Amino acid sequence: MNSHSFNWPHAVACVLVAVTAVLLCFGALVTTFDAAMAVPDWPGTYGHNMFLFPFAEWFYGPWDLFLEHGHRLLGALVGMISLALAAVIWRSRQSPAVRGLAAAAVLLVVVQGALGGARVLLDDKTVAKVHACTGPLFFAVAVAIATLTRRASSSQSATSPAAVRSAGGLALASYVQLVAGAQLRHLDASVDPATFRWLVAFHLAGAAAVAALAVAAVLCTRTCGQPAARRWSLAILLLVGFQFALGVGAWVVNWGLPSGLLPASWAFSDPLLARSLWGATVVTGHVVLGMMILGASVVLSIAAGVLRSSVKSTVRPQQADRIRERAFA
Amino acid sequence: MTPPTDCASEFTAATFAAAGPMPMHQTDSMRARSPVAMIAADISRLTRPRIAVMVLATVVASMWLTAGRGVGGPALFWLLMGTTLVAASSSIANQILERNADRLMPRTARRPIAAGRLSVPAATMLATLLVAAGGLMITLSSGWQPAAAAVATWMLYVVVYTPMKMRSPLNTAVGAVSGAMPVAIGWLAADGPQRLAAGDAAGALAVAALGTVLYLWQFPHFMAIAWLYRSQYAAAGMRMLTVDDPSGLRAAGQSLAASLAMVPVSLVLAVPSGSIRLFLAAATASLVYAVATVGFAVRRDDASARTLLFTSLGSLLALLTASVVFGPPT
Repeated sequence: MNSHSFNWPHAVACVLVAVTAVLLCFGALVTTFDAAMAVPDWPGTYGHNMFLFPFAEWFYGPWDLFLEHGHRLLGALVGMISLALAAVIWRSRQSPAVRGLAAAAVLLVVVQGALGGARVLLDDKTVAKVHACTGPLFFAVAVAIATLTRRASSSQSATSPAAVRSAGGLALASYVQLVAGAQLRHLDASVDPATFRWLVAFHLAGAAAVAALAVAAVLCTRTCGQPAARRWSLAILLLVGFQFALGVGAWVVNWGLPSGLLPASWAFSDPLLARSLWGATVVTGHVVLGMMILGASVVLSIAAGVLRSSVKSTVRPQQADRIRERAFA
Repeated sequence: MTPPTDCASEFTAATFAAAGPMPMHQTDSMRARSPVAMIAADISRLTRPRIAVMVLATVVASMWLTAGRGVGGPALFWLLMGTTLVAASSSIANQILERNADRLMPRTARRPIAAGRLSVPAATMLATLLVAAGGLMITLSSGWQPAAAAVATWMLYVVVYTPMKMRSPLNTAVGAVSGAMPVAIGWLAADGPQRLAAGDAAGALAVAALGTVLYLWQFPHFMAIAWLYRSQYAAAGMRMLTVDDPSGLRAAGQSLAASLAMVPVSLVLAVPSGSIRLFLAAATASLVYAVATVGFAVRRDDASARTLLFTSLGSLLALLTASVVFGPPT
């Protein structure tokens, strides 16, 4: 590729990341307002072709219909951008690792669409959980593609193994936190208290792990010679601090204050509080910020060296020739 | 009826390779083995029982996800016996077709047909008898549909995948289908179509997820093996991806795509039961596998390939075990 030509793969990947971020916000709001069944059919919307559903009826209609149908339209748009991205990446001779990620994005978006449909048709909470776990994974893949297709990224050198490990661990822990969070967000009313306590403990332990890894990433990237990695690690630490505050807020608006912590007259546990403007902002913000931390961790991981070497070959040309000669002799 | 990888023998070979050269007294003791032990070793090399065990585990998990506690009894015993025989037959047929290539690779040169200890006509007769007996057992115990699925798996593995290994690096994508087809045997044997017609969509969804998981799982697993033995495959003229692209970049790309797509698909296994434990177990197993794949994609060396190979076996075992323990439909 000519170094002065427009970097289409990176541009399309950035568009994909931006649209996916909006899609994730809509998805989080759908769960917060329990709007998933606002449109009971799939893939159509109230008998219409999804794309031909009357605009006014959607845009000025009920809030839950606006969220659910908007989520579907954005999902379809993300699917189309993913296909376009895969096509652009194939044509532009990107590295096989980037091609692999583009293929993963297409597979994930197809799976995610099918899961969204199954969630509506089966009206099943577990499918909703899987759907909630697939969204952030797709977002992480899109962010990885956008980062790896930057021209500057392939020219930077790899950093210390400690930085790579802490950054990769942070990305993994952030995703596991989203998986645990999805269990709590889509909690079945019939779940027993022991399971609920266990899930909460798991989520809190995960939060501690993410915080510890964020601190470790800051320390490890301090001397790694990658200014970008250092900046991203500091930003993530800041985001994790906000996330703690939002986590406490999400707990309060969902389940009230823990009994005994404050006088009974001060404590409240109205579940509808989560659907108020402030409540919805806090709860949805907690989920969306979690996904942003995941995305930032992926950028940090790549800046620190994860997947960077997969752009370059580790096999010497002579060795490669020898293997090929033996195969095709 | 077998996964496209010669997983058992290659896994053993990889383990030996990791342990380093074998001490002299051990090789001597192997040479001095009794005829019975040698025949047993040959039968094992010929039929590859570890692969058969993996196939049986898949069939049982598939039936369990479809029918829950309704699985069991003599019909299950004969179904598994029949499946074992068909799996053994496919392994023998594979070794008949690949005998010339097997002679060129140290890890397969000691196979009975390649080494000349079993003639091709005798092996052909054995493979035919086994597939016929296995198919008959499955038909009599579970009906013609699972038997047809077993024979179709045999055909795909022996007639399509095995010759394709010498012709195209796409062989993995084709062979992985035969590796995932035992799921169909279990589903058909557990009256899956009838249950689906009666409205049990969740069971069919979980079985479809298990089949897709098995399909995707084979890419990183096989790429790790193809990396470890790339020189041997090249010497035998086999068109593995790591032979066509010795840098390993294409193998890494395919592995990445498959392992990432496997994460959500494995979570679908928890849908029929709604089990949080299965959900988290599936998430853990698939994420660990994805991390090992990223490690291989980054480093592309023997150590990371071996780690990926071990992780692939552990994650599949964990997924199947968790499906059986936590996943029967309520």
